[in-house]
Amino acid sequence: MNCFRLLEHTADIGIEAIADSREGLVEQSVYGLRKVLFGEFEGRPLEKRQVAADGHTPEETLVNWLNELLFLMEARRFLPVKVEVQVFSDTDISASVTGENVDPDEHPLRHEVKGVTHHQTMVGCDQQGWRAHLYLDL
Amino acid sequence: MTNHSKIRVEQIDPCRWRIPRHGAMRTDGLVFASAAMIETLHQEQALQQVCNVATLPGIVGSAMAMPDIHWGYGFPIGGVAAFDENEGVVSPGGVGYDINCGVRLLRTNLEKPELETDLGRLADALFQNIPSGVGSHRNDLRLTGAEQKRMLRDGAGWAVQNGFGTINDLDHIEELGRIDDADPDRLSKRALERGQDQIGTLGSGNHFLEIDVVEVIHDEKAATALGLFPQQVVVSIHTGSRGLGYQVCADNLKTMLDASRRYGITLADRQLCCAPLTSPEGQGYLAAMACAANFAFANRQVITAWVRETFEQILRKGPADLRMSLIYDVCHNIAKYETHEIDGKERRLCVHRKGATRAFPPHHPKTPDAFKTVGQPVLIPGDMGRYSYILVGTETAFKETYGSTCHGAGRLLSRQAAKKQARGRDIFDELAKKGIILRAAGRGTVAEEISEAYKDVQDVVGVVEQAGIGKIVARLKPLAVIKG
Repeated sequence: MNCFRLLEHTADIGIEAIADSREGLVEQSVYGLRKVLFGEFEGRPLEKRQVAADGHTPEETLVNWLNELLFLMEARRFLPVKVEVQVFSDTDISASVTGENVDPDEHPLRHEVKGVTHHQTMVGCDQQGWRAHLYLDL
Repeated sequence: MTNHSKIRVEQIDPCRWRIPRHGAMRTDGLVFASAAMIETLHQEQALQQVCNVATLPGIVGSAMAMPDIHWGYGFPIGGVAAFDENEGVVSPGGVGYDINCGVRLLRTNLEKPELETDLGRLADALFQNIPSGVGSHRNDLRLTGAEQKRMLRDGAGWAVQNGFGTINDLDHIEELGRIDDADPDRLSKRALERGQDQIGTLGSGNHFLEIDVVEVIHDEKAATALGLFPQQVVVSIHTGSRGLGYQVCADNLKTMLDASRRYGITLADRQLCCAPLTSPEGQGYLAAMACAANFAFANRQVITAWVRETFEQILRKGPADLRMSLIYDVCHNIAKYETHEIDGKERRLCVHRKGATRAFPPHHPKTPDAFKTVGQPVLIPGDMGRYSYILVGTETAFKETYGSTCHGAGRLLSRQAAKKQARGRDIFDELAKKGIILRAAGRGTVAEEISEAYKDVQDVVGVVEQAGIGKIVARLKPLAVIKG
């Protein structure tokens, strides 16, 4: 099963990503982030961007990678539609993200996400599959 | 590392609670709160975050939390901690993403009845003239290259030099509107890009611009010193360093995670990543943070100029009639070197205030001359449907909390819970019935910002006053609210 859900936080919001594979966590985290920023609008796969990041643990690497993408989403209004993960090791993530640059007036952001935090980030695997927890500072 | 079990707290008096040092804590935690607040805090993770802060190297005194404490990232919101300049650390998680988010308050010569007929038009004009909302930007003020760097070095002073406000404004801003040692070369291209069209913008979330009325005066002497009188119209501005600040924080968290490993610092929470104050990483962060803080000072100064211009246009009155001088501008997300007395000796400390306000006492050298006898003004916004408070700093705050106090009401409900409560309601109409005009860029933000989403700020400042870490001067009621 591949899905995500938003987690409650007193001041902000979290994302729980669930996937059949570690790579799937990246994809579901992106969809969670997209929902917080752009709502239900899903966009079109018009442009491809290569996004890479490193870290010392899977959690740190995932947060660093999502912050790379967040910059494109916030500053360049890039709306991700499809994610193809080439690498998700403990220390590296490399993925191509296809989407479109949207007009900020037509598709204003729903929230200003200041950052994907390292607070209580979790990447793990149990009998039900892979799971990640992330918290966003709004 | 999170511990969801109940943290042991010991009551010291009705509004002080000690978390005894345990585990990896290097010092006690000290929380300012009522008994009811403490009970609520046990249901979230803010107390654990106070314990986590207490594990950081070089902490001096207790890891503290003000009465608006709630669950944050790294530090709790409402967190205060000071670190020795030689042995201590600096942590971006002790400042937050919105570096130098802060509040400023403008006085006017107007009384509420004088605005009755023009209030709606004034709110519309402010909403139009000052961009608000998620990712708000300006097309008419774009700063790049050398000019942007001058702004990042000089803060509010840059704005005044460029015609936004007067030189007198600078005396009424914390640190005179400029943090020293800002080095724009420490900022990434991304940070500079995100900041280039966001000077003079409000942003979204809990940021706002309000026209308020002075509803109750609690301390006449202090109110007179601050230039306040009953029924007076004042203007509050709450915003920070926008995308530039967020990027500075994100860039430096990455550096600090590496630095924490390099210097062998064990982290209770990765968001507390830090570096010794004496290290290149620590110094680099402070130089970048100062740029973002100066951006925020400049941002609020530029907005102030446009507020004044808008009042003059709509009310057809000149500056001499309106006398919209700045009462004060305070930061509530910042780390700064300050001198404090510890065990009878003066020590230079790096004080982190994350969702906490500086509250220096009467006669302190950094308390502006105009307020020397009453203390530094402290501005505490509540929520858009109730009230806000003006306080002044005290000796007790200076001695006990490194001259710090609360910064706001503190959230009570998550955004999703607030939206649920707002479903099916017309918040604009509800506020209108209370005599409050609301203009907002997004209905989603309005739902998330309903009054019930926040603690009653009266309870928060009540604890502050009872503990003596601030003195209430006046209560403001909103008349018109501009939200992002």
